Amino acid sequence: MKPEEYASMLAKAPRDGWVALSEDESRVVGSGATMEEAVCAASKQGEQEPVLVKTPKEWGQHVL
Amino acid sequence: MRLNYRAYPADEASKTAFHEDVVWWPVVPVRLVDQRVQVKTKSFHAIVDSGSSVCLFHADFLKIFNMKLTDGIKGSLGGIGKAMGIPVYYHDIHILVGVDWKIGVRAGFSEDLSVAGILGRTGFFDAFHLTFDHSGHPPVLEMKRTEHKVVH
Repeated sequence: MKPEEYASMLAKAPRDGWVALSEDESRVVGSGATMEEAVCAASKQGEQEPVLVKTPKEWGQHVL
Repeated sequence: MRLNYRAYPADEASKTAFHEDVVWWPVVPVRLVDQRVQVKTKSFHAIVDSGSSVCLFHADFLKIFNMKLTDGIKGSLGGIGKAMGIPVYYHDIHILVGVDWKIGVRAGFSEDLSVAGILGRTGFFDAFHLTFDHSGHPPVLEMKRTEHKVVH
């Protein structure tokens, strides 16, 4: 997956929550307000080893 | 270990100002492991941030370990803005980097963190030699372990 495609995939995912990606990080397999919800949603999709991303309220430039 | 920076969505201002459709971040796939090395979290992206004095993680991870957030050492986390700091609680955990690098750190946990994790100077930068190379596209993060802080 190209970097731009990866960013586009995340841009379409729910914000201000947790997103679970497939183990190869090629698709969104779950999401939720909490990490537990996202992991549970991924499990229902058959993904036992999701990669988790915390999505911000707004994407863009951040100073951490 | 050499890792390309990851591309994250850019906002309209970023696209206009920097003519980039994405924002590049140096992230490392990690897992957290409890003190007894019995439970580990799912893999997640943590941002390598030399501007952070400590390692920080979202409080949701503590639930995996059945650890109570407020049992940690209470502190406050400030940023560059004028806003008041967010509450943070320090706990001792292990960070699993890749498949075979495990480091013990005292890390801050907060419910108000907008990202999953931040790998800061104390605990992470003293465990690895880190090189941030922005001369290419995409930028590259290179990590080499130091011997004294890595726990196996």
